Amino acid sequence: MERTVTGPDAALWTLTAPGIHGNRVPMRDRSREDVDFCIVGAGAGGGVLGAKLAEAGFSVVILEAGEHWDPTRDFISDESAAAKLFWTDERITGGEHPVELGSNNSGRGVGGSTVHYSMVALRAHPEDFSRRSIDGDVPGADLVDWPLSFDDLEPYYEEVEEALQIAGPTFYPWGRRRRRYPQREHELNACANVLVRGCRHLGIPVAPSPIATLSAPHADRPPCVYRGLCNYGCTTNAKSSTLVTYIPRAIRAGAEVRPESMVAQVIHDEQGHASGVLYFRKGHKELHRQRAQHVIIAGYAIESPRLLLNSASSRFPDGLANSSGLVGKYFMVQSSDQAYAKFPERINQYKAPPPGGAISEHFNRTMPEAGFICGYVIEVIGPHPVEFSERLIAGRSLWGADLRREMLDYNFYSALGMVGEVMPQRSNHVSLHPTERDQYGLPVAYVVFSYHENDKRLIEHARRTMQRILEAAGGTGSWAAPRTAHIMGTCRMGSQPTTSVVNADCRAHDIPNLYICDGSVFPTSTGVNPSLTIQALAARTADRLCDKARRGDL
Amino acid sequence: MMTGPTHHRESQSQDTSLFQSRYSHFNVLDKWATPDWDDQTRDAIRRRLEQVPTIRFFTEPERRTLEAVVEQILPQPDRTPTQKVPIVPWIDKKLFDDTRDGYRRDVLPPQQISWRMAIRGIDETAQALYGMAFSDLGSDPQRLVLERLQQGEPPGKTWQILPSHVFFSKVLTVAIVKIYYAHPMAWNEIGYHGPSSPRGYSRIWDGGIDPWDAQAEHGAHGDRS
Amino acid sequence: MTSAVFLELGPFQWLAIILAMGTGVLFFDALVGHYRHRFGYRLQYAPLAVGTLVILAAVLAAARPSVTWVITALEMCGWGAAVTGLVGFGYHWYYGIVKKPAGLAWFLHYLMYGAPLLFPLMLTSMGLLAVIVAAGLSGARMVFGAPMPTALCLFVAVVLLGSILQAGILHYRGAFNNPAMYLPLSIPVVTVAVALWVAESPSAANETVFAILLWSTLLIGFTGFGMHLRGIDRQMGGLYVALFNLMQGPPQGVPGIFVALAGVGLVAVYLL
Repeated sequence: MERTVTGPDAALWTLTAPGIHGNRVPMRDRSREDVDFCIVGAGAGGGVLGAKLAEAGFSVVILEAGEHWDPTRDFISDESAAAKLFWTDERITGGEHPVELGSNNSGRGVGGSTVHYSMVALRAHPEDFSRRSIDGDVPGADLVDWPLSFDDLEPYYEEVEEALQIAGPTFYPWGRRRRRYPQREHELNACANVLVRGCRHLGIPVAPSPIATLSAPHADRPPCVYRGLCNYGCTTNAKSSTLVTYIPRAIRAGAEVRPESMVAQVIHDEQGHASGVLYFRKGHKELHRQRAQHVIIAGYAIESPRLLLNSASSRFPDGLANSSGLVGKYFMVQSSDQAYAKFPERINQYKAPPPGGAISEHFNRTMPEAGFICGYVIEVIGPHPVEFSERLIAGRSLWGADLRREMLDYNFYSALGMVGEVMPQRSNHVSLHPTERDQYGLPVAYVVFSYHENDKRLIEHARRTMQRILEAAGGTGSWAAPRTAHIMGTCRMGSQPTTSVVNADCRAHDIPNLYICDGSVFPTSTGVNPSLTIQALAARTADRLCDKARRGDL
Repeated sequence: MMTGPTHHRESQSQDTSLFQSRYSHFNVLDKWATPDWDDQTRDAIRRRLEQVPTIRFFTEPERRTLEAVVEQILPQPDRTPTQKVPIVPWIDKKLFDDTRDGYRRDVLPPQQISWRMAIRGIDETAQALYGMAFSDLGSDPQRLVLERLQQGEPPGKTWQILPSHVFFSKVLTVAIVKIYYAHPMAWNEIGYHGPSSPRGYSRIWDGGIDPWDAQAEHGAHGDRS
Repeated sequence: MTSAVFLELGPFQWLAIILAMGTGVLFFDALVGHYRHRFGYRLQYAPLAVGTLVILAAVLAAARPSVTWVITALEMCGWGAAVTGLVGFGYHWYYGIVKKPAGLAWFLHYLMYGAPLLFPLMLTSMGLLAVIVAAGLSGARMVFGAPMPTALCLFVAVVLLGSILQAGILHYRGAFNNPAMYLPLSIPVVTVAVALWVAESPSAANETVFAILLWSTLLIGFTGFGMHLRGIDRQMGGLYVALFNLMQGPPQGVPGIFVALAGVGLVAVYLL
């Protein structure tokens, strides 16, 4: 990072940040300013907020614990070498169904999890926002309605889909009627053809999948080359991660993206208003302070509540924004079990984006007489060798010669994955571990999770369905492996301060200038991949903040 | 930077038939200087192949036991000791550097402790069942010891504190396959194309084989997709 | 219209040259496209074989326009190409759409990603052009029941329309990411309409308009060549991964069909 003094004001420095083509772009240093907005986390939510707020004229700093990736140099075409993209600081997991974190669902670095995610870009359905009203009370879970509706988010889904140039089919058969996706769907790979064949055979509706990677050139980014290493960083720049879309916009509009800056604490003044953050900068032992008029936390569903809890003070002994006691509670994942089968022809499952280009939302609804409420999406996956070998261990308990022999058939396997709704249970939570500390001396997150009975029945149904589809497509010897995907729920959104942490505008009930805007705010998990909803929420929150500023209410 | 490391070729030793690869002519390293590999990937794989770490974390007895365990979990009887994909050195490095995975089960202690405990426990179980150290056992008894770990609660004091089935299925086996299947020799044997940047794939359909893929050794001419 | 000469070549010699060029660009795209599918169907060699014969016959016909066996050979190759194209169309329809995993239920998807449906019919058109050229070289004033100039105008209208549709499908697939992708859907549509008008009732006025439109279409064709070449460079890796981007990027040959069709129309206007 270069630093040069510009102008007569010696306190004002100029930085540069990596561009996306191996170049450097100029960026302002706002470390000494009392900025309008300090955003914690440069991922799905943080990137969108940073761009929109900076473009609206606010001074913005985005602090990110990880590095600012240069796709031309930092993304290595290798599963193992991609470890740096993930949150590998220690976290502890427990409960009846301990969740696997790290590369499964936790990104680190500018772009966050949008650098490694599988790019499925789905809108939630209108029903997803009123689960409680529609499906009623579920014993053992706290189903609630969202404090906003699909109508509130619809224009933002459209805005984000346009900004990311989502590539989807001309007619998408599920959800509310919508305008055409900005780009056309991708060609299907062999794994997706398996899903299509199997579904057609069984009479299950199936459609091309909307995904966040370019199918045609756009601006300075080329289209996808189907190299299939999407989960390990896109060197093509076709993948529409926040890193190559919203973040460059934010920097162009004057925001500063400060990487390798782990926020340790949000600080507040005597009135209980947020006044900035304290963070560790790589290479420095001491804490730095970034002053800000407003703080937005967008660290995803583990780091956000962790930060709030770690920010406990004498005035807020239970952590910030926690008068409800719900910060960290209602931790949810989405069930994401996978089914595998072998085929007579080469599948080469490592090619093309993992979603393969096909999807079925046929089961993404509460089905009568199913024995459970809510539903799931069936998608395609394309694990690379290390990941695939781990599935053989998890799903078939293979090791030894059996494992090595089975791996010889790697190219003949095809797999399906599900994304299933999970019930919000108060007993599932993220808390501060009583004894473990990370390299900064901060208490690490302790994530406790168990499936609800409804979740288990849903998973059972999905596994059976996926295996039937694989067999209908000509697969043999199908088997399934347990898995989860995504995280959400730990700072749930609601209209009442006693039963929620933030309101519909993502503002903390307790602290008027503190916002939380990422997957943590989901009161229910929905049955679709959350990234598009997170980004739509962030886009909406940015607009709401601008509205407030115009009215003088900020 | 454009010349690759020495090409590894399988050589006949004992028991090649067990792991007969479909792709005997395929070597991902042949594509070292093609548009499938970029500079940063070449750097990373070169380091992986040429800079195999020395043992700094494990003691010699621990290393010996672990080598025997690894040979059971990911056997390579078809390769001579110098040809084998090295695994234990990388586990050693991970523990020496304390590079973590981003999460740990609450029933397990930190990895630097749990691995030492597990190795000790494996020897305890071997002693309890066969009266010998694990690395002195024959292959079948070694396998049975590990199966007991997989099932849970095998004999041995350590396993009263360290849940063996969790360590076995979530830590031990996973760490080993993570290393083995990150090695070009493993890619060759399964026909995994390996790195692909800037060039991607064109024939992504069923039966589709790109010119730079592992080719079919037998089978139909061309695609009917 | 009376027969005129340009650069010492008669109209049908010019048409023979245009025929060779048009078939040549189709040959190239068929080669790349069928190579991408590894010639999984033996008949995928057919358009290459037939295309070669047509090109050879056309070049010979341009050089030796009065040799009888050359004209006969050109006509035979023409019919061969016409039939090959029809069979190809059947294959593209059946294996490229109907037999795909979702079949006709995903018609639009396979129109974009299955085999390009109308390309084989362009080969058929070149075949029919060869027949027309053979007839013209042997002195006929009528072909397929119409006077030569009329037949050529109708030919231009129909084949240009098909080319516009095919370009439209593939440019739609490319989400019209460059405004130039609208070009083949713009002026050439008017060219089609005016070609029909000229075929119906030719006059000095509408032939002038037609000529202007044809020159514009020609220009659009060349622009297409340039843009498609640039399209390869726009893909990741550009020419460093030439073969890959050739298979994945825009088809390099088909803009030439617009050039060829404009050429046919211009010959009809100026030389007949």
